[in-house]
Amino acid sequence: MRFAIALLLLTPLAATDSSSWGRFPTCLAATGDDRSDGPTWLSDLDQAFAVANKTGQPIFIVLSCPH
Amino acid sequence: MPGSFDEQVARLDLPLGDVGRRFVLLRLTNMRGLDLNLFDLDYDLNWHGLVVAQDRTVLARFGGRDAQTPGKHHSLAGLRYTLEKALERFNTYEPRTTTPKPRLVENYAAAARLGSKACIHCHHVREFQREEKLNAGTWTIADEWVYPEPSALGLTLDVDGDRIAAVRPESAAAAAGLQPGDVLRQVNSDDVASIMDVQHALHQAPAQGKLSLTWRRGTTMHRGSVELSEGWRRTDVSWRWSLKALPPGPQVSGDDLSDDERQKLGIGPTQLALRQNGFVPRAAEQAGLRVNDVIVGIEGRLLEMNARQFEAHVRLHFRVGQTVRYDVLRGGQRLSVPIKLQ
Repeated sequence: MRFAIALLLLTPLAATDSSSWGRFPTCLAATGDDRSDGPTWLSDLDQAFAVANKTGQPIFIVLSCPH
Repeated sequence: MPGSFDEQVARLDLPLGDVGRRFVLLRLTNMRGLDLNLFDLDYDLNWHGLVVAQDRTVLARFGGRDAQTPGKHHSLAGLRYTLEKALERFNTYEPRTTTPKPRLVENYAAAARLGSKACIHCHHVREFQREEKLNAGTWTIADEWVYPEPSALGLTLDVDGDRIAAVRPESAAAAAGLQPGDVLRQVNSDDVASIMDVQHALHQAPAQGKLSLTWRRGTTMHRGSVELSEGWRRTDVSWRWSLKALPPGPQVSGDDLSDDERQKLGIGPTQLALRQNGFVPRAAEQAGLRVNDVIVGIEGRLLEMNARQFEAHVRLHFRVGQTVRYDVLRGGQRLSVPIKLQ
C-alpha cells in the first residue's frame, strides 16, 4: 500500500503535463478513503474563478509543487 | 492512517471540514500558466496554501518550514485558524478596482529551455528570476535571503495561529516591547494570521530601516516598530532547492561524519566534517581530492556548519573561476587542497 501511495505521489515528477493530476479521488482511493461525499477539488484556475464569481465564495488554493 | 499533511488537507480532515467547505477548492501542481502577481510565493517551498478573493486579492497565506524541518509550520489547527481569519477579511476587505497586467512564468527566457509542455516547478521560478538578474548584472547576494523567518526579528510564532510563543531576549522584537502570549495582527500594513503571512510581509520589508508591528495583548491593541539593521534577513537558507542552481558548486559532496567519527578525529559536534563520497568531480580529483577525505574548513579556517550549509556557503560567498584552498583530513594528516570552483 505504501508503495502504491508513493507511486501516486511521485507521478507528477515524471509527468510532462499535470493537468490530469490534482483530482483527489485518485489520491483518496490510494489512502483507502473512497468516500463519495469527499470534497471536490478543481484543477483549473479559470474554472475556480468562474465558480467563485457564481457562488460568491473565496477560493482556497493548494499549490502542491513537486521538486 | 492520517497520511501526509497534503492528504489530510485534501480530505478536509478535522478540524478543517466545515470551514474548508466554505471555499471553492482548487489544487494546482504546476506553475505553468500562473500569474506571478497572484502566485507571489516563497518558491522554494513545495506546499502552499492561499486564500484568494474574486478580484485576485490574496486574503491569507499558509505553509512554510524552518531550516531544519520540512513542513515545520504545517498544522491543521493552524490552517483552520488561517481560513477563519481569511473569511473575516473576505467580508470586510476593499476589492481592487484595477488588476495588474499578468506576469506569466513562461515569459522568463530560461523557461523556454524546459520545453513547452514540461511541468514548471515552484523552485524554477526563483531560478528563472535569478538567472535574469545575473544576466542583467543586477544580482546581489542579498537576493538570496528571501522570505525571512520571524526568528530574524527574535520571534517564535505558534504554528496553530498567530500567537507569539517566544521572544528572544535582546532581539529587535524584544526591544519593540513584544511579549510571549501577544497576538501579532499586522506587519507594516499587512494583516497577518499565519507564519507565512508574517514571512510574506517580512519579504517586502526593507534591507534596513523601521518595520511597524501591531499586536493584541489581552483586549488592548499595541503598535510599535522594530529597527531592521543591516543583514537582518540572513537566516539559514541552505535548505533552499533553488540554491543548488547558483554557481559555483563546491566541487565536493558527501555527508557529515557521525558523532563517533568526529570524536575519534577530535572534531567538535558543530564543526564542519564533510566526508567526500564516491563521486569526486574530475577537476577536484586532479587538484588532489580523494574519496573519504574529510573537509573541515577553507583557507585555514575551521567552519561551524554542516555539509549542507557548506555547499550553500560556497555558492553564496565565492565566484566561478575562483581557486579556494579546502582544509582536508586524510589518514591523520591535514592537507590543503586548492579547488578551482566551477
